[in-house]
Amino acid sequence: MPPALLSIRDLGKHFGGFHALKGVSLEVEHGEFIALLGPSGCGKTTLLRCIAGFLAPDSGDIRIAGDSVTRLPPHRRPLNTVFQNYALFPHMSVLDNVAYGPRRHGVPRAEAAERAAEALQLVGLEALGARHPRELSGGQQQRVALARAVVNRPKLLLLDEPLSALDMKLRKRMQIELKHLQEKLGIAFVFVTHDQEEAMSMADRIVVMNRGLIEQVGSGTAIYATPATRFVAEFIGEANLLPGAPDGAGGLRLAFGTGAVPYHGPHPGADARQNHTGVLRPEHLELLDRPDAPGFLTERGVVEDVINTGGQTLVMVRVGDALLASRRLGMPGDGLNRGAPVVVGFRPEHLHVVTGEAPP
Amino acid sequence: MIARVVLRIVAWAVMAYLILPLVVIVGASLTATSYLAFPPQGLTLAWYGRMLADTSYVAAFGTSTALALAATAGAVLLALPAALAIARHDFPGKRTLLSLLMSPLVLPHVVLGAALLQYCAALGLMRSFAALLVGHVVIVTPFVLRSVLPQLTPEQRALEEASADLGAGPFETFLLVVLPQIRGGLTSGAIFAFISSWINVELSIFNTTAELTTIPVKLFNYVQYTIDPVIAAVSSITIAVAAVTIVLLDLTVGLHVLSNRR
Amino acid sequence: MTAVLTTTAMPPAATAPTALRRALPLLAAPVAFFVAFFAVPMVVVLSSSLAAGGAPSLANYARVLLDQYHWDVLAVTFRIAALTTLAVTLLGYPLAYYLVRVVSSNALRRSCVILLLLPLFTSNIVRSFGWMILLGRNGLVNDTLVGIGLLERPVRFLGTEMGIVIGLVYILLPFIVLAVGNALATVDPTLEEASADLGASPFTTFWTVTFPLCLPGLIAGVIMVFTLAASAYVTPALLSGGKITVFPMLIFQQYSTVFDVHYGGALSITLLVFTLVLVALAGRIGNGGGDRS
Repeated sequence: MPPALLSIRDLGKHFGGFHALKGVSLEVEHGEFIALLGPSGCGKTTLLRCIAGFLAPDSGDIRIAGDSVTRLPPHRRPLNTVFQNYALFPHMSVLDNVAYGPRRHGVPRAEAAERAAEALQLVGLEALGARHPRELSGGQQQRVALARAVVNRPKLLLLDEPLSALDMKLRKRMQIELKHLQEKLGIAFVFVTHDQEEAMSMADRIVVMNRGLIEQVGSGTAIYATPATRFVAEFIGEANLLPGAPDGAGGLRLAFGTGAVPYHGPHPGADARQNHTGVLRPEHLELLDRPDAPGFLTERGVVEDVINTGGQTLVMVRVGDALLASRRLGMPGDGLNRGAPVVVGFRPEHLHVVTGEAPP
Repeated sequence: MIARVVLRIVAWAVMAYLILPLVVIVGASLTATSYLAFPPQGLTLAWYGRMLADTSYVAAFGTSTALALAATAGAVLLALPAALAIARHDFPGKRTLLSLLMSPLVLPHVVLGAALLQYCAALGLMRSFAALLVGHVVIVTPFVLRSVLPQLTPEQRALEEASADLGAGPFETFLLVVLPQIRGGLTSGAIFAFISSWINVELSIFNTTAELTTIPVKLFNYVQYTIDPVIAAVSSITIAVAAVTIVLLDLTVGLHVLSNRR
Repeated sequence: MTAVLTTTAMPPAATAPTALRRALPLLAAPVAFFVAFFAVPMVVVLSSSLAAGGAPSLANYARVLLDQYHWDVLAVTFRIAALTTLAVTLLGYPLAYYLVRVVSSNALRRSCVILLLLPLFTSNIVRSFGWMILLGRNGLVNDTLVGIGLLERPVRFLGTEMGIVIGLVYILLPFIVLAVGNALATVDPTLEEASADLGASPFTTFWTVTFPLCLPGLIAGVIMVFTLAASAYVTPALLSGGKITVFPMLIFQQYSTVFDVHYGGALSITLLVFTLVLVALAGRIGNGGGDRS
């Protein structure tokens, strides 16, 4: 088997007393679109800067196509980066910015300009080569940064929150364009973002990071449907958390309203010392018309809030001590007012159990 | 790597070059010999005693200090309203005015000193404290203007509008909102103004007399005839004033020069 | 040392006359003062220089410009200024780069800044005096050079152009270090990272990204240093030992001893014009070189 395009082994990095990376391992295959997702301070940008070579890790190894690059300076690494603030050279024209990479690799001036023009064409900016970066809009600068980073046809492109400076509409459009470009060029992308929707809609695999560690690696579907940890469950989408306790017979009892739900499905680590939490997505918690609906586990509750988010309705229901969220398509129906008594329930197969304690 | 080492050596050599003459002066002021010797031979504070006994040095220190303080005050009084007008109003001729106010920075001081000598002679002010003062105000005003102007930003303007909106008059707004915000720039500008006046020779020399003289001019006239450890002692005092001023600058507004804005 | 003056956004509604009317109360004092004690005195010098024997005349300028001696002094003055500027740049740039980019400890950088400001806050006369001690026949420099065998016997520094340049370089060095250093500090480090990312070695990154981006700061510093070196009076006067004359000395003589305001005025204006022309030329060359990519 040929080596992975990018292989990271046990990477550690600390700044003074702060451990930004605590032993991170990851493999990226050719042509893959990987999103590094996590809250600020989780280590995703540190990881990216270690791969690019702007930071030297304290421990661990980074290999590209089997060769270790851990000790190589950035300019010797076979990859390119799109920076968060684009980092376009303000004293050069757009064309010179894009031609900069080929020129540094010894390509003659004329040919470098030709390649730069091609790269600009790829992002639809072939007409703006003579301008200076400051004369471009944010979206155009973003495209120039992209053209500059792909002009050398690297096998691996690193993107550090490249869309974060754009407004919502432009951002959505660029997400699609970026995805198409990635498929067209066949370059592997490692894309840092703190926006889960962005990660979900673009990436083949999402790497969820928290406090310098990888919590879970998987497709968007997988991390949403079967989060590995309570952190992932809460960070990706919304979740109702049901605190669990071992039932002494290898199963669990999950608190739901006044009672407890027995759970004998698969769950990580049957160790009695570990705490478990049931995760139930709001769309799986339904408002029912009777407490004995077949196939459902039900409880009685009281409506606390009804939020219409346009096309979807979120109903917050007080069940015992817990405030649970139920989401459904459509407008809120009649009679669904604050204080109204309701029956809520879910199908047991929608329950997913993770390790980690639910918040009190 | 070799480049790094060479860079480090050059940098430290240049730093040494910058400090050496000052160390030599302070060292020479402590010598027990009656001629300047560095390294000093024996240690004594006798030359400082000799300096204090000479009332003309004490008087020159007094003149210098009074002149520098008055020039700084004058510069602040002129530069503050000018900065406000330039930052807040788009009047015709603004660029020309700014160039006029900043040009003493590049104009040869010898030329300006000569001009003021001739002009003050015509006004009957020749070689007076007033003649010295107006010249010093002219050359130090740009320092205050230059450090205050960048602090009057558009964001700053929103605060002023908020203050007016809440019922404060222009003067109250200036005192309660503008002044606290530009205090840093004003302080560093005033300190640069003070020190530029304090160390000036080339402008002062035209309008000083044997009785009315500043410390740098007195030193200049003295050094051309004799060199003795008293001169080194007087010079050391001015170096100490410079050091105190820098510490003051660091403590009040901080030395932000050369620091990365990250 | 030269800060960029930013003028800020204006209230859009105010028309030019209204703006002037509002600004006038603020401007009255500074404008009156600068006109009275700066503009008018300069005009007086100019008009004196254009008069001889009570009538308008160019005779003073003829006397300055037709005398080979003045050209010789101008040549010495600007040669010293040019050498000083060159030496200051070659010594100051590495120090600025070192302080901003290499020194990682804030405490060390701060100490260096204090040491850099200390000479700047000390009078030219005191600093030149230090060099008089150092450069004397039996001064530390000669002693050291003879001691380590670089020289066979003491060299005369005082009274040579070399001595004046050493003194002026010393005095003007902090200006260029601060100008270049502040320009370097504002260069966005991610631009250099981007350059490295695209395959440029640190050396190439410096010449293609860092250097062009702080060129405006360097030019501003160079112009400042050149102007100050050409108009310096104290340092050359002390280190020349009466053997070398620079242009500002001629001006000083005319006003302080001869008191010939007509001839002195012409000398003043000549120095001013030559300095401004050379500065404008330097600015032009600098800007021409700034377009490289």
